[in-house]
Amino acid sequence: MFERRDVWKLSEENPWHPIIEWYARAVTAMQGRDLTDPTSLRYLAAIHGVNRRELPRRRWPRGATWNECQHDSWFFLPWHRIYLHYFESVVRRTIADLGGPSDWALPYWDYSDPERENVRRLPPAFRERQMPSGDPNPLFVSERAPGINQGGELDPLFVDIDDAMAIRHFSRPTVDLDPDPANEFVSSGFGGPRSGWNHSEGALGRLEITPHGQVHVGVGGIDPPGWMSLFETAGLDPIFYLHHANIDRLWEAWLGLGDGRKNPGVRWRSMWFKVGGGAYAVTLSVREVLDTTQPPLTYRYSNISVPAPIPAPVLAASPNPESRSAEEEPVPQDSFPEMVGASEDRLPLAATPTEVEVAVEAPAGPALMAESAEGARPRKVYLKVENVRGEKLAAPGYLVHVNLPPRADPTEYEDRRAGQVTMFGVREASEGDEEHSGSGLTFSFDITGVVQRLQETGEWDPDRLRVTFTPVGAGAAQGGDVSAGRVSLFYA
Amino acid sequence: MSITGQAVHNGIRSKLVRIGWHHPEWWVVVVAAMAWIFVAGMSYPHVSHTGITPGTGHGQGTLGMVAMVIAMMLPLTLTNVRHVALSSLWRRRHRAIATFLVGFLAVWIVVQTAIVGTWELLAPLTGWEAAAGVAMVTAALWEVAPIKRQRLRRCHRTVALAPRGWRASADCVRYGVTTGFSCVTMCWALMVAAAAFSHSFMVMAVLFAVQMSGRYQQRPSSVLAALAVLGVCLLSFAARFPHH
Repeated sequence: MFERRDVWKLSEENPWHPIIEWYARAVTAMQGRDLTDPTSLRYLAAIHGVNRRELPRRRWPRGATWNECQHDSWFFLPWHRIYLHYFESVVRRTIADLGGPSDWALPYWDYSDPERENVRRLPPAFRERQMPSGDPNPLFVSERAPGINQGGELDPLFVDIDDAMAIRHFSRPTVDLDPDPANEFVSSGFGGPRSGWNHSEGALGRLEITPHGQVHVGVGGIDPPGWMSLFETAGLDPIFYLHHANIDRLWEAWLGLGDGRKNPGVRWRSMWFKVGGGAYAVTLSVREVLDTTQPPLTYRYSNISVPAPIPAPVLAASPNPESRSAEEEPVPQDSFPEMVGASEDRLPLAATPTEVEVAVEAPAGPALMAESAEGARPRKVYLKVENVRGEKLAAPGYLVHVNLPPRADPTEYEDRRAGQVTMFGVREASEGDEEHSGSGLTFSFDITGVVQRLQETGEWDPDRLRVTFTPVGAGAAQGGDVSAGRVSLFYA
Repeated sequence: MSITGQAVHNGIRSKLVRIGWHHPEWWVVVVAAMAWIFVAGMSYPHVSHTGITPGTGHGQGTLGMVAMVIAMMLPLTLTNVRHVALSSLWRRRHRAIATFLVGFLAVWIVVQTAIVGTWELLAPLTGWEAAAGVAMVTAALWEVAPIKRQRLRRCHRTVALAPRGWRASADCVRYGVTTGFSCVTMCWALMVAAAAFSHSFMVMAVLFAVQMSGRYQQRPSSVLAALAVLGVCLLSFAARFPHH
């Protein structure tokens, strides 16, 4: 059994702990291999993404499964698990060939523990230009966000896992053959919406937004976008794999929380992916990678404990004063989401806060019926930020607040925060090519708790909703062209 | 009505209401199904005792052509229809579907008219067998062409719709037109083959299955699709020449 260990704990023992040092030596060897070699770092990075303009398909090695990473999809987690398995196998074999240990396992970067100092910084070995031997350090990448290589910390909001962990459904709440599509429409769940093969476009699962996407752009930066900020270069930065090992760990941690949390059913489990080339190539179904302790994976994490999440509210219940925005419970079974308002025009997501007002109509369908039956307001309220598109980013991400007072500091209104929007993947999802339709990204948030608190304080206007997007993270830049297609409100 | 009967009636009614909520596209499915029944009915008279009469089947009549477009194309756009309906205010959602379909079908009817017109010009010049053979091979090759995958992705595109007023209707029509164009660039080869073999209900059904598989399967196989196209067209050829 291989054990994936916490890179910061290893670093605290020794910044160049043997596990880290052997990783560096293997990366050096893999960097030296030819692009067409399935064990080269460039080949591995191309599996995740490749720039088609620089490397069109006709120039790919025969049988290459490049540009395959699954995002904005319920296959986001299993595809990356298979991909990491392939990567780890290549590194392990390389280390063994270099005379190192045969039981090497990929460490993970747990940046989310607020009790531990430094964990939001890159581990030291990833920031030093040279290895202890004096050789160039392959773990150091200059194409990163300003300050991050000098020990700068990621924004605490970027590594917040509370919202993701609070969600109890992976993609939809019940068995796979449940014909109820309501939840897919307004809620992408923990792991992403149901989809077929999907490189990048559509709605994101909550874990994929934060911390996944935010850490990508937090490390990579936006002006210019560093390697971690783009699909096509993310795999060239050795920290990428430690970041995804942590995302994979959080999937295990989420399942461990129980309370109805479980993986989807047959349709999801039957999907298969081929990753890699040559003797190392793996073709695995989702079903085969659900138990990491069993072959072919055979690994476990040294620690999968996370703080217990806060239960999600419904409007009929009394508010929980401790709850900020525990999120995304399923649409009630006897209801259906009904759009009650949307913004009229595209909304720029700029380097400064942007605000939009949405005229809200009284519900006329299922939400009205639920209202009259219970003598109460709709039980669930969802906010969607649809079709976020653009090529040049103005900020790594945005905080989305509901009914924020004019000129207010958003950090003082956590109880009105709907969620976060990440810019990771926006550029790719805006393209119209073999992998993308050009729809952009869509974000959905359960804002029932926010609305509940606004109602309690008399600050909820049933006819009008104000939504504010505040840039978050270092490096906001003028001149971006990203915009949201519209902001819409749903009752259920 | 007895209390039990009333309860059953209410239960059925409640179920139907829920289906209406969850599947606002239901009537589009009904329209497509009716078009298939129409197409099947039109196919029947063209089956002779020696096999199938090629050339001037039902597909060439305007009504038949429209029915074929509705039968084969509406099911391909159900996810777009759902997007339009669920992204609209409740009172507008069926109007939104209708305006979307106006744009979508307008594109396809123009294109299908051009396909059938071109077919009727060319087929007599080259002979039906040669023209149908070219259509069959083209359709099979298109299924495995990488560019088809790109075209397929375009069909998944969603757009932001204005919530109310004439802008909402205009957005729905525009989305219908752009989806129609995307659909044409993905399905043109199969629709040419369908026009060529429009006498054969079996060919149309298999081509429709290939289209549906490409649109909705999690991981459609392009090779299987090409083989299905070749297989059913060759079967149709064999039926055309039973003594050869």
